Amino acid sequence: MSWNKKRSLDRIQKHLDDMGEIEVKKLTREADLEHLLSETTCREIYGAHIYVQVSNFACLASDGLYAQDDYKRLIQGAHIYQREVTHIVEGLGGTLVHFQGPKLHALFYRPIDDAKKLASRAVLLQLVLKDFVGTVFNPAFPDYDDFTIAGGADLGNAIGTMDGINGDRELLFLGAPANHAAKIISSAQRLRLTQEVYEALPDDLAALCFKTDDGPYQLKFIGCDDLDELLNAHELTWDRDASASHVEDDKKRFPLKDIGYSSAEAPIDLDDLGISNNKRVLAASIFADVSGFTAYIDAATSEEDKQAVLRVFHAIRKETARVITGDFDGLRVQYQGDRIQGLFHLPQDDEAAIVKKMVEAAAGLQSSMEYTLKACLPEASGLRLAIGVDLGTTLVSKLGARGQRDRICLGEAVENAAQLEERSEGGQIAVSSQVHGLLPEYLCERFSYSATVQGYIATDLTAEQVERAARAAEVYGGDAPVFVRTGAAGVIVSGQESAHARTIVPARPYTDEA
Amino acid sequence: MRGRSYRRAPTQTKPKTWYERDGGGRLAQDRERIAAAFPGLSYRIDEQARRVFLEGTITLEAECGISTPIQVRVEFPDDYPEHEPWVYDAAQRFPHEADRHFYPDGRYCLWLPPESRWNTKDPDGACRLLEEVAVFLDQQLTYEALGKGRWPGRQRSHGDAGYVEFVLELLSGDQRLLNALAPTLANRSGVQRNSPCPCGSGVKYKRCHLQAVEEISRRVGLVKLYAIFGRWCLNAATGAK
Repeated sequence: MSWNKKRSLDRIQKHLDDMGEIEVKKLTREADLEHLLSETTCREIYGAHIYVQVSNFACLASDGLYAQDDYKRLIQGAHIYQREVTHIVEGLGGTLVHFQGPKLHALFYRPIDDAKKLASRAVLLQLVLKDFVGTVFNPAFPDYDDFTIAGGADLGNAIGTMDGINGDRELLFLGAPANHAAKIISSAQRLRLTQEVYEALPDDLAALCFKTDDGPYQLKFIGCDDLDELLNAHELTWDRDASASHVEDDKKRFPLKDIGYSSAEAPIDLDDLGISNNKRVLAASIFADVSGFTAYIDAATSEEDKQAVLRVFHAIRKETARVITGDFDGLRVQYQGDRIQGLFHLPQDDEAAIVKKMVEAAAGLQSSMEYTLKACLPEASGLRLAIGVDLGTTLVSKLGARGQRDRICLGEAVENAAQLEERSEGGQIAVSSQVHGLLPEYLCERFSYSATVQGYIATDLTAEQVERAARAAEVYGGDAPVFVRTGAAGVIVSGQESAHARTIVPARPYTDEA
Repeated sequence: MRGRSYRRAPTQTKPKTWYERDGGGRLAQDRERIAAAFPGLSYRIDEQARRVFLEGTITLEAECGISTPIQVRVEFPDDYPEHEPWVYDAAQRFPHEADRHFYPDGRYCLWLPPESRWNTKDPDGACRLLEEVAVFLDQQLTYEALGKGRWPGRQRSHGDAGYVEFVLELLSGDQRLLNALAPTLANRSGVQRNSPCPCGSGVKYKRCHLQAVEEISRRVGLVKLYAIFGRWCLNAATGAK
């Protein structure tokens, strides 16, 4: 399994040929986004994007000291949390975009273009979820340290599109609000919002906000009674007791005895996963993000420009997935806007082999971006991929029911890989110290420590360089000859004998200057 | 008419350059072979300077399908094919550093002169040279892929040390022997054919290491050999490295 330029070019071209014309219009009336949007039917949607993260899930999922029942309880908790949070989002009139592991992405876009109401709901959802975790969820799962949440919200225009077919569909949003809301999330227990949300808020909610030193606004914490009062004032309802009752019902509905998890000797079938079938594996997580894509899409003002940007986006999205799944036998976990999340867990428990394959896949992703995507789409020439990689114990599952199912990976390595990607720049591959220590020497030396990224980075590492570095010892390690084939197709220097190749023992270069 | 000798009128014609001799046969032959093996390269003749250049790209293909075109310029000496052409990094694709085996002007340092692969008599010499260049370029790309400044494969030390390594190899790696013969190699020992060999064997020089020293002198060239081992002896005497 490896990256190949011709294969990559062929599949990108085929995807572009089959894509059809993209339509980008402003969403002017309420619609079921799940059914309206597709790869080519895209809408510019004014809305409030909210991300809310439970950070404790990740470290609990990685902790190897938990007894079997404790781990099952964690799985039970993650699934029940997702189910009830989905109810809450929908109850407040929002749309669940998806769960990115322990992080919820929700959208309010109704009433259409009503900034005040959309901003209010974004703020109230954060407050409700904080209340829910503190007053309902934590008491229901007393065996763990208290779960805490952090959130972020932004308001503005984003382009909504959809990936996939049939049951494997994912809502995707591109543009500043979908991105900034996630970026402003800080440490636990802080609920934050951008200037745009703050300025649209009515006085009663604006009074709950204060400006932080690093830019965004932050919400003050309020008690249950104050929250209920605010919900009433804004004609929204959330029944705390009903939520508690749903959680208790779900605990009975999904008892620990029905929850299963196992390791995986064969490739995990993500579609087979669910509350009764989870995987706990040693795996490398990879996140690849198109650096500067939000600015790129925000700069597209005409419909024609937007169509071109979406064409680029879908080509990148599909190609990156194929590199991970097709070229390197990895799993595509999820698209997250212009970012893709992948997982490599085989060969089972072979750390060195997993990270080697992972870094080769990362170099393959960079190669697709630099050599084939840009060749097919010259307008993408300014875009580059930033990639983060880490290895660790990971819980792999699928949350939700039927139509709304999200593939999730929980673990500290997953979070760290995402953070490494976020801290790195376009063209870089960032790996953790652990991954760096497991790499073969020829790959290890391409990475150097970066205090900014808090990991090891390799810049402009492509499949060609990985190939050259890997064969260096074989081809140039001793006095053995190399085989040089010339001709119209270029020059191939190889360690393997081939027809019409000239045999040369490499000369020993010299410089007449000490 | 007796007593009058015929004297040829002075001519204005310049002597023919290598590419004009034999009706331009060598150039035509090279051109044909290069076009087949390295289609990215083409000849340019500077009529003013009466020089020939081979310019363009050598494209290296990786197995994954990524092509790396590298611009090169080959300059042919006036006495080609008696002497080998020089090859330059035409577009500064690589840093021109000694550790990368480049001269500051971008000329490739393909080999120690006594180890040159250039074969004066080989009609396919230009192609053979370019194949060696392709291996050198592949090593350059591998050097970059490896990072940390490690040359892939064997190389000679820079400067005099490279020559000393070469001579030492001709002496089967015998460092003691090299030390003993160094003054002779520097033309400073005054050893005669019938003198005892400087190696200390007690055998006459002519029956011991004379042949080896002559072979070294032939390969390296007397001027270079005397200069290098002159410095070597001086450094040994002063304890400098």
